[in-house]
Amino acid sequence: MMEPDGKYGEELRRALSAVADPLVPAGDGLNRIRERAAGRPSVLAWLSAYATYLPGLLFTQFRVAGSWIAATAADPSPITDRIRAMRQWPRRGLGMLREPSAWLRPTLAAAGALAIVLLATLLVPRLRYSVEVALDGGTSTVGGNSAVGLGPGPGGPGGNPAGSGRHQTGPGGQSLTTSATGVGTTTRCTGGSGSKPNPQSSGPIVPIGPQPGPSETATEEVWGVLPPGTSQPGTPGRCSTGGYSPSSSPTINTSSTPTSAPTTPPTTPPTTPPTTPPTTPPTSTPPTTPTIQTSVTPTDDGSASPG
Amino acid sequence: MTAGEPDASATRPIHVIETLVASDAALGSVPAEWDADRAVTALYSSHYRALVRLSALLVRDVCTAEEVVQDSFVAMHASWRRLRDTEKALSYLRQSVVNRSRSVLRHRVVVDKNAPKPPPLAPSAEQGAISQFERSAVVSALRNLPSRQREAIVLRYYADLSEAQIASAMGISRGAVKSHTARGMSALRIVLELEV
Repeated sequence: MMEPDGKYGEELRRALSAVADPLVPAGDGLNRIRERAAGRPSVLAWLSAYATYLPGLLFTQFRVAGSWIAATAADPSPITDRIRAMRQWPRRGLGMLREPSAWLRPTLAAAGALAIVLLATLLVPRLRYSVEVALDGGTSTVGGNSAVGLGPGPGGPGGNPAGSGRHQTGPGGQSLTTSATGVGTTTRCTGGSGSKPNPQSSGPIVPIGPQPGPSETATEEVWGVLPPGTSQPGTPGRCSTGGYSPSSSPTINTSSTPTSAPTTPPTTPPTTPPTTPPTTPPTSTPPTTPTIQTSVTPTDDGSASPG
Repeated sequence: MTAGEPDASATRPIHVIETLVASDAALGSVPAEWDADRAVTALYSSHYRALVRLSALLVRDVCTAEEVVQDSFVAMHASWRRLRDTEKALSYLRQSVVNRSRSVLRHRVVVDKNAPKPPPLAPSAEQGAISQFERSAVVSALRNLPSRQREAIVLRYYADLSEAQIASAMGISRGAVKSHTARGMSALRIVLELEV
């Protein structure tokens, strides 16, 4: 595999190992990964939030239109002038068509915006993934055999209020409970509708790393396997500072609702613009992640220990 | 411990209880029938620490390295259904870590260029660990290398990857890997001679 690197290769290898091997990451890495993975928004949550926002938007538009009609009706100018002004609209429209500069640029801008939206909808893989997961989650939760099963059951509070797809908890939804056996920590998944374990989702014992004693057991949890391992005291705490924040990564956007709803250009009446109340975008509570009480600290040799 | 090289893990003592599935995860290959959660958990248990160290050598910051690796795991979890070959999950993770570390460095250059100088604060424990990490002559020399050379050097001499694996992780050809490695080694030679 490796070619002979000369005398400097071994020296460099040793120096890099001496620098990097003492580094010990924080023990809550798996929990943080779980939180981020569970916090990904789903399409149904987005749609439900938009459906909540849409009636308010329509109500606002109707109010604008109503105030415009009222202002037009209250116009003291004679009716003949208004009729004359209305008769001039076709001529104005034809004049605009003769001058492309008047309408071409807004049209192109609108078409470009529409194309960008369509491209973003089609090409953003996260959105496509959410659609797939939403579709699959809807079917899996009916049968009670959720493939992912991150949603909490009755034993755990929280859950995805949007009730969408991936983290939805069906009759067979699962909740995470932890119990320690010996040194290692085991995590079990139980059925959401009761205290019985879900036989379809709880698998056999799959330990990962070397185990300190034969009495330790590890059961597979919803997230996979939580292997028993040696306890590792003194794991460093979570990094609180750093120049890199997860929000800077475009792939990890944990916001669950569209904060900026599509806005329409304000249509104001020609005479008296009505005062429209400020519309607030809908806010839906983000999907809460189940409380995971067990963290796995990876070790070099493949074993894991509770952090 | 290397980042999941089969040769390296073959020498690793595997406990009797450790199942074949778990050892597959340690090798970086995950069965296709596993779901994303299970695969992520298994890969985390086996390779998280090695990936953090690899990223720390690239970004020179442990906390940032953790963020980078966690982002990679989250991305792999999200795209697990689209992963064509689950046998190459570790390769996917490694490539993601390298790319994200590169993005972090690129972002850091912009931030350092525009951000005002903060006032000096009292050093914390983490800062002490970081400074100890930074004090290494090899790390300092690595910092001065171009990013591609640094990645090639770290992937080769710390992660013990082959040229093909390095080429896959960096997204370049094997010839480019050789070139970057040779140039990086020639640049580090002075530092290594002093270390010797």
